[in-house]
Amino acid sequence: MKNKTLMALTAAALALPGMNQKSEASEAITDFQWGYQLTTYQEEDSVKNKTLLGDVERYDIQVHQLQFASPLGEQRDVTLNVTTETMSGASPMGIGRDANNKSAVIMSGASIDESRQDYSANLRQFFKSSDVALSVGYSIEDDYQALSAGLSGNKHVNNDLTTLSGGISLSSDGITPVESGVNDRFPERIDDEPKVSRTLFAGVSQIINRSLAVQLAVNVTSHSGFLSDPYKLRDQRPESRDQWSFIGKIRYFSRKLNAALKVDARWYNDSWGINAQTVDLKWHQNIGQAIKVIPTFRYYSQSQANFYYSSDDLSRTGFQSSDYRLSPYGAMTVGIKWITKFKDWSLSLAWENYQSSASLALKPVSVENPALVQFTRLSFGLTGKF
Amino acid sequence: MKNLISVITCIVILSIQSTVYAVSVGERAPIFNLTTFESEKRINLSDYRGKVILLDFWASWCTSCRQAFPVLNSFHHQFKAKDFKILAINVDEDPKDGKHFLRRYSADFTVLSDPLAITPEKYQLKAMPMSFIIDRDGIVRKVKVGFKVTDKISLYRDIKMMIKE
Amino acid sequence: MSRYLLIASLVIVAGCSPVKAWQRGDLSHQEMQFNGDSLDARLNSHIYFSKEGASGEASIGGGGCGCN
Repeated sequence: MKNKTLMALTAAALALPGMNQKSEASEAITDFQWGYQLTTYQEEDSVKNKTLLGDVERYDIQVHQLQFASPLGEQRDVTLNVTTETMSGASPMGIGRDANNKSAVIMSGASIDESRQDYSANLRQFFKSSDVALSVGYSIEDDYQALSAGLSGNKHVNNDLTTLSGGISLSSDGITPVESGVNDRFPERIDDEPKVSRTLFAGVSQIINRSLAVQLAVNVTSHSGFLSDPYKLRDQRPESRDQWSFIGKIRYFSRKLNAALKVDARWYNDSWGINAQTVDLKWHQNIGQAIKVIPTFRYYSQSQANFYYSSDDLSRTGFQSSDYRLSPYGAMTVGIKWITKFKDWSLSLAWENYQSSASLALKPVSVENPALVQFTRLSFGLTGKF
Repeated sequence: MKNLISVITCIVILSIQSTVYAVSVGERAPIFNLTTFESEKRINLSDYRGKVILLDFWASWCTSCRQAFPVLNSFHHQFKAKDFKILAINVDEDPKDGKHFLRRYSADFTVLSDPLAITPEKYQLKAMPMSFIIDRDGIVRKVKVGFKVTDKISLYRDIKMMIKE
Repeated sequence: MSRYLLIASLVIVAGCSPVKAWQRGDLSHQEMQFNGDSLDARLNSHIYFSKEGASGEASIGGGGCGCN
């Protein structure tokens, strides 16, 4: 009965002028698609004179990504993603001070070998002028498991010129550090701790004219549980963290140049006191029908967390961390990607370089964290359709 | 700042603007005069008075338009001996995009080029693709917004019925 | 006053013509979409999530990671 009422209401709504429309933006895929990408990136070695103890060789990371997408009837589709990530190298355990009283990194002694597997599925259902997606994900590594689920949707209104989007997701994680327990090397390390994250986002996108579209969105994420880093010498963080992101995006297409400009900007702040600004620029240059060249530039700057210290002190109590991710710094990424299409196939090659330092921060920083990371990534990708 | 204000005003104005009304069932199909892709031959809608016409609007960038092509091909072969004609109007602003598309997805029916978008304006299209079935007297009898493969059945029935009339 | 407002709004309207269904060729390009769910975009968001203090996108992300 309920269903019938709903159908009648839907039918009535569809009969209204302006509602009975189909747009490109709300259609299920029509072909079976697959994609593979291999990425390898190396974090630059920790600088010798900035390293107090341990191995200077930081992570070498390899990532294999596989994606399958398939239509399920005309109004539905499903996407599956499998990612495996293998890492080897040493990682920063803490920040000490050298003979000249300068802060320097204490690296983990032995090289660590780790791997992570990530599986996710996304099911989308399309209606006349809207769509709903359900997603689930599972990520597992030696010492970390995360199970997540989310629901999101889009509604096209106003002759398909405006799209309202929104979604919620929940992630339940467990941290079980290695080498913990009474008989192990680090008896003080935690055994098994939970963490829960909730995300809510809402956005509106608007077509301004034939070649310009903008989007505004907000993302609120709140974490609770164990949020510290169990592998650090001293790391004590609050048990909750609320994050707010305000996002603005611009898409502009130039017919004359056969190119698109993508601008993504984000203003971020959280309950730990971090403010961050991000600008991501991409220029999609089409060369004929088959080639695309995409230069990328990204700038990022953040302030420090309230409880961040530029070096560890074993006698200090209360919230504290010397993690470079909570330190004040700025970062710059430059990159270029090349895509060649041949019929239903495409091949891509990408190079990207990431540099972070205190001098790149928007506001002056007095002490730079010596563990800031620099890396170069190379990716090779293939996609196909049936 | 001025730009921001005008963008916001645009959004407000665009969100209150009224709906587009397409040419609807029972109306006389607006006439047009366009050239074909292959031979630059001029074709006038009135040339086909007395025939049942399936008028389809498509563009190279529209994925469900592509889905319609095999279906249109099969209709073309099934009904070509029976006073039936398919006219597919390509509305790509750059006709080269339409031509490139046709090299990959063959069309056995007649394809016309309208880069200036005169006909979509006349027919006040609400979405892409959009098709109209026009009877022997030049009256629009069916309007189809969008395309799904399962629409094939109802389209087939409609065409058959109108040919019989 | 209201006359100026009317003129001003007319000028603005002239600058933002509604985009018709057949005029969406440029907007339909894949690179014009807001949320590219390409493998590259997924990877990048994971890398930045694991190496920077800030995170949060105009979509729901996947699960977390240890990322140490």
